[in-house]
Order: sequence, then C-alpha cells, then structure tokens
Amino acid sequence: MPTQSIFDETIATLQKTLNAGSLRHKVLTSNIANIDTPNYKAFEVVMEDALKRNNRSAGPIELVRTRPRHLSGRHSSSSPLKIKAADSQALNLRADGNTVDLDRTMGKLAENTIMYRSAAQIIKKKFQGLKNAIQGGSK
Amino acid sequence: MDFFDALHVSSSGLSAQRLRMNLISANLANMNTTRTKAGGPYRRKDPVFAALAPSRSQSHEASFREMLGNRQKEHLKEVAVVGIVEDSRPPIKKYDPMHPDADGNGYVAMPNINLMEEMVNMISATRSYEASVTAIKSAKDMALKALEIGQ
Repeated sequence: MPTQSIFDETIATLQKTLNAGSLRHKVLTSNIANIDTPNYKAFEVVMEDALKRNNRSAGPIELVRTRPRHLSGRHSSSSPLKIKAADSQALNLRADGNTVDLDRTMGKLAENTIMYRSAAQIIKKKFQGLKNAIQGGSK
Repeated sequence: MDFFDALHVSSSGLSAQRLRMNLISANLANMNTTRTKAGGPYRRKDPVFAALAPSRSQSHEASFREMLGNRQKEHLKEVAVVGIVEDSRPPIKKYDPMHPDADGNGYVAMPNINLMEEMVNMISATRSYEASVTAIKSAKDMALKALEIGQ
C-alpha cells in the first residue's frame, strides 16, 4: 500500500497553513512591538494567494513545455510566503512616520489565532483517524 | 469566512473610534490656543466617517464562488475615516487687553470649543470603542466554540 494514500495532501497542506500562521504571528507581534518606533513601516504576510497558487499548480492541470526556455508554470515552492510592507489605507494622524494600526493589528492577531487553531485541530483529527484505523477501531 | 469579516469590520470601528478619541484630546488640549500655523486661533476638528465595503481582491481571476460571496456581502460595510474637517463656527472674542494676541480693541480670538460637547463626544467614543471590542470578543468566542464541535 503506497504511503501517499495514508499521508495524503491533507497533512502537507495543513503544514503549510501552520507555517504561514506562525510566520504571520511573528510579523504581527513585531509590528506590535514596534508600535512606538519612529518611521517603522508595518509589515504583512501575503499568504492566502500564494497558497492558492501553490495548490492550483499541484493539481492535475500542468502547463505543457514545448521549448526548454518556457516557464514551468509551477510556482517555485521554496517560499510561497512573502513579507511586504503593508499598504496603509487608513488615515494616519501620527507625526513620527509609524504606520502600525494597533486595533487592526489586534484584529488580525485574533484572526490568525483562530486560523492556526483550526488547522491544528484538523491535523489532530487526521492523526486520530489514522490511529483509530491502526487499532482496528478497537478503542 | 464570516467570522473574519466580522473581525475586520469591528477592527475598522476600533481604529476609527481611536482616531476620533485622538482628535477630541487635541481639541481639549488646544482649548486656549490662540496661535496656529494657518494663523488665528485653533479650530476644533472632527473626523468624517464613511461606510466602505471591506477591501478585498477584486481581480478578474476571482472564481464564481468568490464573486457570489462578494455579492452576498454587499451590505457588509467597514467604517473608514475619509477626512478631518475643521469646525466652521467663528472664534469667540474675549476681552483681554493684556494678552499678546489681542487686537487693537483689546479682544482676543479664542477657539470656539465647548468643554461639555467634547466630554460628551469623548464618552460616546469610549462607548463605541467598547461596543466594538465586545463584538470582536463574541466573534472570536463563536469561532472558537465552532472549533469545539468536533471534539
């Protein structure tokens, strides 16, 4: 029995989600830590789009390369997460050039926590199911 | 995700009320300011709030499901501060001939700021902020409770 059918894409995908969540948490906490740093520009992690693109290229549809110089069409999986300076659309009253919006950042932090916990819970259920199958459903 | 939309909308409310609070503090601090860069006494400032659709990617690549979701969320509006306006009420003339900014007749133009009005605005901003915090808390609790369904 090939191991792919046991450890299918679920765990790999959730692993990416967890990685993205922990990176996003780091960036958000660094933004909060620098709330009083003059000229600090808030950063954000662009991940949802990147994950989507990654999943699509991992699907059954592949670009056919007829010339060696054609692009592969597969997104380079080395780093699907990009950290970029957040574009602040909100009006800013601060004179010190800092673009951190505490309230929005706290909201994003709450969102990230929920996303992370969801992914962790699904991965936990996945392993529980595997364990159950290994034990023949005896427990 | 509906929970996250609720979080985003409430966060925008928090941000807007905080800015309003900052402006009220500036108004209170400058109650007696007679000199400004633009000339004349300080004029009280008010934020202008507008309801905007949440910012989301509107690329032509959006799938049918996303577009349907966007259509369903038409009525979901974030609050955005679109500008800060100065109060148009004329300055109060106060007789104080010893003041360095007094005019020829001994009158000084003072900011037209009503302390009571500012205090009421401040309480209103605080309560609105608290309401948004409560909304965020309950959205978060709902999402975390939903996670407990499978346990």
